[in-house]
Amino acid sequence: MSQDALLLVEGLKVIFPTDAGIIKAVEGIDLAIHPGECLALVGESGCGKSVSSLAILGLLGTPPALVRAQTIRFDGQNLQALNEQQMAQIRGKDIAMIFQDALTALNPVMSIGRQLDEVFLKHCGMNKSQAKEASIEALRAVGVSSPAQRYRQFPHQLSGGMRQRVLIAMAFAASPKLIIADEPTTALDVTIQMQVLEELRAMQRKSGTALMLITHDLCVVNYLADRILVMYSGKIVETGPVKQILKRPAHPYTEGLLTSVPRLDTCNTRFYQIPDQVPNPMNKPSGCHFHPRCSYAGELCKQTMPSLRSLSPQREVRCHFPLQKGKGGDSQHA
Amino acid sequence: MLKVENLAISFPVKAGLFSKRRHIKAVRGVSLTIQKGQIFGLVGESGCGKSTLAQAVIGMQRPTQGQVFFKGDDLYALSTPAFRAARQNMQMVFQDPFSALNPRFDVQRIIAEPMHIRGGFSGEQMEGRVLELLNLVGLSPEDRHRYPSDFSGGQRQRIGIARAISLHPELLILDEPVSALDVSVHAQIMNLLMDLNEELGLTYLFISHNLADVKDISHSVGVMYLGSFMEYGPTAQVFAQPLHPYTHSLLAAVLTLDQQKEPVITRGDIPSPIEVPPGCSFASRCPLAQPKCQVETPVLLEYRPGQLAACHYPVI
Repeated sequence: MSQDALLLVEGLKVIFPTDAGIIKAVEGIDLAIHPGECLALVGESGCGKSVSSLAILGLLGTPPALVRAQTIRFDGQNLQALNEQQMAQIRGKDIAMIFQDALTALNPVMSIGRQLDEVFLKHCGMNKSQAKEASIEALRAVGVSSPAQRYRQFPHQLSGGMRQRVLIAMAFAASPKLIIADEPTTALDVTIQMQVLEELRAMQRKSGTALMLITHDLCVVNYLADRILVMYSGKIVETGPVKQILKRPAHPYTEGLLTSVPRLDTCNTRFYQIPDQVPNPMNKPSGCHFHPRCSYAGELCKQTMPSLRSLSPQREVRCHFPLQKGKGGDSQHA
Repeated sequence: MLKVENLAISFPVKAGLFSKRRHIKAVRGVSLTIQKGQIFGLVGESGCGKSTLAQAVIGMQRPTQGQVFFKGDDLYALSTPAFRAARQNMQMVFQDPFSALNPRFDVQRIIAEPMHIRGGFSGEQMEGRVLELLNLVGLSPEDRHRYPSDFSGGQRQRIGIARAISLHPELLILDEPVSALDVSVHAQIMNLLMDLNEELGLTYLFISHNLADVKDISHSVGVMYLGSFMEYGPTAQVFAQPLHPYTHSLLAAVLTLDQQKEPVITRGDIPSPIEVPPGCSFASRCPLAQPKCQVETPVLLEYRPGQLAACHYPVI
C-alpha cells in the first residue's frame, strides 16, 4: 500500500517534555493517503489527531515539541530533509489547510480578494489582473453569491458559512495535491454545515485532490470520507473503509463512539455513555490505554498493549478481543 | 413556573454619523410557558435570538416590549430586593466550561461563590454543601482543592452545574451546555442533567442548536428563526410530524450514520436581523414559498392540539 501513497507517514511520535512530566501526544502512528482519497482522522480532543497533522506539516514548534518519525514522505520527497523555506513552498502550493475557525484563519484587515490573490501570485506565477480574475472565479466555484462584490469585502462582512467557503476556495486555489481540513464545519450551523460540506465534497471530487479530514464527528465522516483512522490517547486503535467500520466496528472504543452519537430516528430515555474519561496524557493506563473504560476488558488488557493487527486486507484493529461483529475477528467473548 | 409574553428585544446599531438609526431585532414577539419540573427545548441557528431570549428570562436584558413572569411575578416590575430573591431562584449554565470558571479559584471557592454572595452561611455549612454537590454531580470530595485547569471539559461542566444548583434554584437556564464537549462526555452530561431534573424536580430552559440533543431530553420544544417561533409544541409531536418547512429542513440537514440517506440541503443564507424581510422570515429559503409568503407575516396557529406553527402553508 505504501508504493503509490501520496503521503506516507511511518512511526510518527510527538512528545512534549514539560516540568511536570512527559506528555506523549502521539505514540507512533503510520498512515498513508492515496491520490484523490479522503482519509478521516477521528478521535476526541487530546487524542493527538491535530498534533499529528501539524507535525507532518512541520508546523509544530520544536521546542517545545519533539517530533520523531521513520518516514514522512510526500509525493516522493522526504519532508524531514527539507529546510524551512522549502517546506513553506510545499505548504500552500502542494498541501493546503482548512482550519476550523475561519475568522481567525483570515486576515481581518485585508480584503478576501487580496488574500485569495496572494495564493495565485505566489504559487501560480500569475500577474495581478490574472490573479483577480482567478480569485473571482474561485469564489464563484465554491458558491459565493455575487463574487465580484465579495472580492472587495473584508472577513467581518461575511457570514460564518461564507468565510468557510472563502477558506475552501483558498485551499483549492493553487490546485494542491493534498488538503488537510481540521474540523472544517464544527463551528457552523446545521443548515449551513450541510451547504459547506456539500461544496467541499463536490470540489474534492471534481479536482481529485486528496483530503485528510480531522474531526470528532462520525456523521461528517460518513458523508465525506472513504477511509477512517480512529485514534485514542495517541495511538491508532482501528482503521479501514468507512462503510465497513461504521456498520461493524471491531474496537470497543469505535463501538462506543458510534453508540454515543445522538440519534433522531430512535427514542432514548437515556443516552449511551462511555464510562469515565480520556486518560491524562501524562499518566496513561498500563496495557491497552482504553481498558479502564472498556466493558470487555480482561486481565490481558491490563498488562499488555495490543498490537495493531489486520482483520482483513483493508482493516486493522488494536484490540486483544476484537468485537465479533467485525468480520474475521477471532473474538473470545460473545 | 415561567411565562414569557410577547417578548421583543432590539438593540440600536450605529451605522454612521448622519445615517438613520437602525435596530437589530433580536427577539420579535415570543411567548412561551414552562410548567414546574418540565424541560423546554429552545432550538435555532446562531443569531436567531435564543441566547438573547435566555438573558431576558434571567433578568440580564431588559426587554423592549413584553413581560417575563417568574412564578407569577413580572420580573421587570419587581423591587430590587424582590428581584434579587427571584434571581437566586434561577441560575445559568454556560456553553464554554473553560471561560465560565475563574481559573484562580479552587473548586470549593467556585461552588461556594453563590453562597458567599447571598451570605448567611457558616464556613461549615458551605463546606458541607460543597461536598454534597460534588457527590451529586459525580465528582470526588478531594476535587474541591483543585483548580479548573486540572479538569477536563466534561468535569468543568460538572463544576459549572454544581455551582448553578448550589442555592437550590427552581429554574435552570442551560445555554448550549454540551455543545463544547466531546462525544463520549456529551452523553455523560446529558444523563446527569436528566437525573437532576428527576431527582430535584428542577425546571430547565434548554438551549441548543442541535435537534438531537433536545429531542430526548425536553417535554416541549420551540423552533426559533430570526427572532420568532416558527413552530412550538410537544417534543414528540414536533419531531414526528413537523408542521413548518423550517423544522423540516432542520431535521433533513442533520447528518446521520445512515449510509443510504443523503441529507437534504437548504439553500441560501440566514437574513440579517437588521433588515428582516417582510412577510415570513423564512420565505427567502423556503422550498414551499408562495407569493403570499413574501408579503404577509404568518402568525402562530394551533394546527394540532398543542402544536403551533407560523406558516401559511404548513405541512399537514
